[in-house]
Amino acid sequence: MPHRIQLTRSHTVFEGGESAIASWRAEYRRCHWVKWPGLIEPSLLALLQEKISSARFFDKTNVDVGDESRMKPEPTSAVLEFLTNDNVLFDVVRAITGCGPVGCFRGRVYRLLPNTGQMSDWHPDLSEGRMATLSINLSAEPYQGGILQFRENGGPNIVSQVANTGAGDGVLFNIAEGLEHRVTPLTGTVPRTAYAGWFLREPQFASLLRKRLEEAHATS
Amino acid sequence: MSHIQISDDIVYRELDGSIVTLSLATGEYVELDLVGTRIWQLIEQDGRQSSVREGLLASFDIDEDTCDQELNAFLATLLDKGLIKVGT
Repeated sequence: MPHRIQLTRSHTVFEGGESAIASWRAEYRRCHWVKWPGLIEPSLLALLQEKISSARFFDKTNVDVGDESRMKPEPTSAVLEFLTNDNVLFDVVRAITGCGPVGCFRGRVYRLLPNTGQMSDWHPDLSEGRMATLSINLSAEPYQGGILQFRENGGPNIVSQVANTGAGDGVLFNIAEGLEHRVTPLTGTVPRTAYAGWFLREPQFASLLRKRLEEAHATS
Repeated sequence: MSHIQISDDIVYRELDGSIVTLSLATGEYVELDLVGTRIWQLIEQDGRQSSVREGLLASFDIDEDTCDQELNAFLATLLDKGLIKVGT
């Protein structure tokens, strides 16, 4: 059975059972990351990419990390939030990383533009109850550069790296005491667009969604 | 209506036994009630309206006239909200 996890319009597909978890867990421990090809189902990805192509972005500085272009809130980001806040995905992440119960995934769509100095410099990401990071490549074309790299805090050596250039692919990666990561600047002409964020202990997404539904019902 | 499909730009998940939909076009959430969730599941299985009707009759203790009225009204609402599309 193939090892696969995929977010579709109706549910999260997980194939491979314990074998997949064991393989991904070993890779995560060895490399600090695990890649999930085709995490977003292709026809859904195409719809998302179409929406993102006409979305508005604004410049955002992440203190001590770097600059990025961030997508303004719109239905596309709500859909990505809805898809990634999924109990099947949460269970898989917990089994791989050994983290505690996941309350929610909080992410944003952002873009790194080539030849602008935009990048994500070395940082640990350890704050606000973050337990692991997920980055999903939403770029419409393959980009160059933009490699995710890991090092021990302040150390000179890259201990691991991964290029997440496949459309719709996801990379789950480790944030831990003593570990830093960065995304290198782009070297070509194609921007890198991603949905990235963190699995958090709290709040509980189901509670947030219930509140939104009540608000929507109250105003309908 | 003869063949019903869930719209391409709709994503959905189950929450506490109910289907919750989210539109990629509008960002609007919709939560379906018990009967609506069953109809949605039947559409997923086989989008022919006749099959949905049969499934609904088998799932709930309702007569055919009530079933037809409620199903047609519900499908019209789903269509109005862009949650489904229909073909022949």
